[in-house]
Amino acid sequence: MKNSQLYKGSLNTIIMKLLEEKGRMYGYEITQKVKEITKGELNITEGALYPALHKLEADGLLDVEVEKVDNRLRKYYKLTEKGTTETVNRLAELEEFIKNMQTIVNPKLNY
Amino acid sequence: MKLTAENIQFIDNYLKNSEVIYYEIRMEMLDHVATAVEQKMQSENLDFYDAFKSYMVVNKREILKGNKLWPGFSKDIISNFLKFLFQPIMILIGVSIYVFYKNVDVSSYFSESFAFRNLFTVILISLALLKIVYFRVVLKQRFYMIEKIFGLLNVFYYLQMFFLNQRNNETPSVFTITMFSYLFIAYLIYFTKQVYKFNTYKKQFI
Repeated sequence: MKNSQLYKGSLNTIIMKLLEEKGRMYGYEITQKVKEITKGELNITEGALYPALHKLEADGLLDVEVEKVDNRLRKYYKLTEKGTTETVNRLAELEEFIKNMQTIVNPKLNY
Repeated sequence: MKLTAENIQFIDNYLKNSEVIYYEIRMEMLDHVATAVEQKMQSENLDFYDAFKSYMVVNKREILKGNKLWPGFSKDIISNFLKFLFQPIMILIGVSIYVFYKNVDVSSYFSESFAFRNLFTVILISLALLKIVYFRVVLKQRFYMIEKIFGLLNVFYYLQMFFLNQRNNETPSVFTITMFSYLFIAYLIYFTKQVYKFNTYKKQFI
């Protein structure tokens, strides 16, 4: 992941935000969607994505659906009720963080 | 361009040979690699083997990072079990066990050669044997989701070594035997709940 230390703390929120918009997604789809949205600037690696998805699943924030697709099984992730509520909280927290960082980095800009 | 059943089997064998032992983890990695290889075959006009080789040269290390799992001490399961221990109904069970041991001298029902504290070791060994039978005979495939629950037995083993020293002949305190009885009863309830959840989960894969 580009500038991994800066993005690392926001990975779960990014995943949850995407799932909130798309309903359900599988691992590869998430990596491609992030790449597409950020025009290739942000590349979520498999080594960071899957442990994050498994952790969110273990915490009861994500639910899993498995389907057979083209001779193989595909694991789709979707937000649970708890996950949907948590997404709202985490997005608000992230927005607040961005605002504060903006104030520190560039105090002349007023949001 | 879609992969054939033989191509999928090839990737599965490759991952098995790379020691991706847990079934559900391997299935997810397989789908990731297969989808990426399909994209590569289409965008770069390559055949399966060239696309696979070219993808794995760059991504193998990252892909296999998802396999760095050790069910012996899973932080998730330990923290979820601790949360479970502090649920109101479980605390009520714990208090009932304490009241029971406070009023009944269970040690008098056991002999010197097989003291009450030895019972916990026997339960621990029985649970470890149950684990082997469950994996080898019932499941036949290894699933990380269920294997990590058995990892809690390692924690119990070390706790038991520390609190119920078998070489020490002193009778353990009411608090100690309550703690162990509570842990084992809670574990059995937790394990049953997780197996029930796992059976629904497993049906999706097999």
